[in-house]
Amino acid sequence: MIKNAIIIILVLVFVAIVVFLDVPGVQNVLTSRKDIEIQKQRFLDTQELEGKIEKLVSSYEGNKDVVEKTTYILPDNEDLPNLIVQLEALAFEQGLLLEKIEFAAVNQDAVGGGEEGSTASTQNYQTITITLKLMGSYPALKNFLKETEENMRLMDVSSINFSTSSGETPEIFEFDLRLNTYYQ
Amino acid sequence: MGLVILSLLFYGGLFLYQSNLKKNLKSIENEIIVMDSERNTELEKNIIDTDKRINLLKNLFQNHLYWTAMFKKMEELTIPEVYFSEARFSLSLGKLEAGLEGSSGTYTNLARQMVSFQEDSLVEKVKVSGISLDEEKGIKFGLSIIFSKDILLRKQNND
Repeated sequence: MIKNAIIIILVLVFVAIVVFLDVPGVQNVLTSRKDIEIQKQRFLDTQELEGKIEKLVSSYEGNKDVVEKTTYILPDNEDLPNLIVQLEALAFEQGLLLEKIEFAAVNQDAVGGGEEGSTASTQNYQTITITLKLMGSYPALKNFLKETEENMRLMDVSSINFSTSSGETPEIFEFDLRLNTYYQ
Repeated sequence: MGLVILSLLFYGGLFLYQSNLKKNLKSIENEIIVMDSERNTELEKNIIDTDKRINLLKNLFQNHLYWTAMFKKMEELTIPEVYFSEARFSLSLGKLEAGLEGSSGTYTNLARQMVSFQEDSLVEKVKVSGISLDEEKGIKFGLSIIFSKDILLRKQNND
């Protein structure tokens, strides 16, 4: 009778150990192994990302001059003083008299390409509209336009008006130009 | 009794194995933290900013306008007998609108000038107005021309 009771107690103890210790233990081990797999994958992903970043950094460091150029083309601010100097130089070099400059900010969402108020794409840049009054010859205007097309700071002419300045010198024109330039 | 001892031993083994797994997990997590801490976030931000700037520039350059190409085309299409004294060019709704005030010696030359513009593939519409006889200039007229914006998007050799 006692022997049977001991056997029953031992069986119950065995079942209790299995149910309350071994089974949760196995479950914990399985969870930990799964966590390790996840972290290992994360480690590999991070390592791969590091490799890519290293390549990018190396490429960036090797192209610092190009990066610098992009800041001239699309500066971080309006940089109006520099713009005035550039426009004066462009006009002077082509033999044009720069009679007037006006600047106006354009509402955002304008798109490149000179057209004002377009909403083709929402871009993260600002547009300044420059109105110029110039006087000079037609070839000088063409050279001025060529220079603005190739100017380091990006400029797009949006309108041009011209007429002869006086009857005595028909080859001299008054030009009204509107240009767009951009900054971030 | 043997089964009880065996199950206790099994639990002990599991406990040790799990401790080992936890150590490994901690070690991997630490390695990831070290890798992350070695990153130069300032430089990475600069790279991201540059990438954004380049994408903006790509878009802007795709729409960059070449007015010298337009003037080159105008010169090609203007016949020698016609003189333009005033001109207005502006962009509107994806078109280039030109308003020209000119003069020619004869009505025939004006007609030839109109045909010259009309026959070009980049010209969408030509309208003439204010045709009148002028003692000094001959025939005075106004031309309104609508060009495709493509005329400004092509970089042509201006030399």
